[in-house]
Amino acid sequence: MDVTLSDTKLGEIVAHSWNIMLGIDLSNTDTPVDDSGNEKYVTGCISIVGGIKYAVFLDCSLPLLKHATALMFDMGEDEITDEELEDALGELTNMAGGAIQQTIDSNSQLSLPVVTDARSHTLKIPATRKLVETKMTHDKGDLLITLVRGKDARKPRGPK
Amino acid sequence: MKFLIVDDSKAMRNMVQRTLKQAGYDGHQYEFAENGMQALELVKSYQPDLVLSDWHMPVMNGLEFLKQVKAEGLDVNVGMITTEHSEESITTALDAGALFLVCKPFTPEQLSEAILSVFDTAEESETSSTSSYEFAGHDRMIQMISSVYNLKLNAAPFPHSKPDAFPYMLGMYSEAQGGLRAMVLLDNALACFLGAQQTSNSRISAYDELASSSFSQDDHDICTDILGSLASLFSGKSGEKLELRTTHLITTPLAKLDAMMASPSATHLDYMVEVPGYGAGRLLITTF
Repeated sequence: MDVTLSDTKLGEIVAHSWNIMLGIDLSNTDTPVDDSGNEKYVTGCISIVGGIKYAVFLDCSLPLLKHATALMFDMGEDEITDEELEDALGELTNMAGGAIQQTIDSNSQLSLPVVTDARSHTLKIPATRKLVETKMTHDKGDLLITLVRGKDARKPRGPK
Repeated sequence: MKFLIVDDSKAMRNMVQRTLKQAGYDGHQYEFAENGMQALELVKSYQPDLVLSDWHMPVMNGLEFLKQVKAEGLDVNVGMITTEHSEESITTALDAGALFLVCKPFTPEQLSEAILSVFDTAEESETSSTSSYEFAGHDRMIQMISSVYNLKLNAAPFPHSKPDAFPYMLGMYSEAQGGLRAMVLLDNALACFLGAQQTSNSRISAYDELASSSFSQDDHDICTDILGSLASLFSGKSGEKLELRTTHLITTPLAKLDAMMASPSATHLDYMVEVPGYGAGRLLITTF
């Protein structure tokens, strides 16, 4: 059975983490995701493995990620290295994963986070389907949060 | 106080340190490790008072680190800061020797309360020798503060009550090797008036600061100095002096702290202290 988690709740969970740790206020937005490739996004992903496998994706626009990273490292946005961007998104993904795990399956295990500089539609976990997605925004940029779950194993065919 | 922060994420190490500073642990010593293996070496060489460790790390994770600390008989306080929330994980960590678990994301208050629990444990473990420490008395306290800080202070005994306004500054005192023996609390009013007097700021600016419930760096510095000086006023029956172990900026009610103040072994000596020309604030002393 699918977990019940609304897009609003998904957004609230992640926004809470960003607010507590970084003082960044994210708000919901209905604006469609910009798939044109004009805006660069960086993606973090973490798996939640229990009775059912889930994965959380954070697609963060580069300006917003730079802003968050600068706050995490107490430095200027122009001083940040790619390694620091990846480190920061890895930790933000880890925190988001932990908070979502607590809501959907507290007895599961959290994987180590993975970070890529590609958009989420080029980073895929095979045999998963999207459960819920929400887009948050900040004046520095956008954050797309997606929860996917592993597809159920095919049931053996019984006698006709 | 010496902290060792262990996390494979440099961003998180930085954020833990920043949150500790926000929680009142500014001016303390910090060291960092990227994994449990590095942390083990630093526990031996740096001898931290408290290790704050992540769980999931390469090379040696937080749980393996805890087990190794136990196996080698190392005497160090370890708390976990992790995304692990489950009861099973909490039990596993506590069984392995962790004193507390703080879940990410965390606030300065949550971290502060967890750290206070370390001292609570120290107190509970030494109940047999409670009440063996005494305070030298308010005359000596006023004389000492007045002479060291060139202040004219007037103090009057005040009926004990829980602190009701935030933030306030708390100092915790212990023997060189032992549990918590005394706490001193300087309320925000006293801190604002002392800070203003020491920096020659006006009385109006002190009241403005008090009205906004803020706590400036000057207030913090003068309070830390005074709390350090007050250590000399506590002496045991054998004459052993206490040391100021930690200072905390308390910004919200903390259940742990309330419980410690309400402990049957606690004795209270509370004062209303006047900073001439500015105003009065509270200085609360609790000994165990």
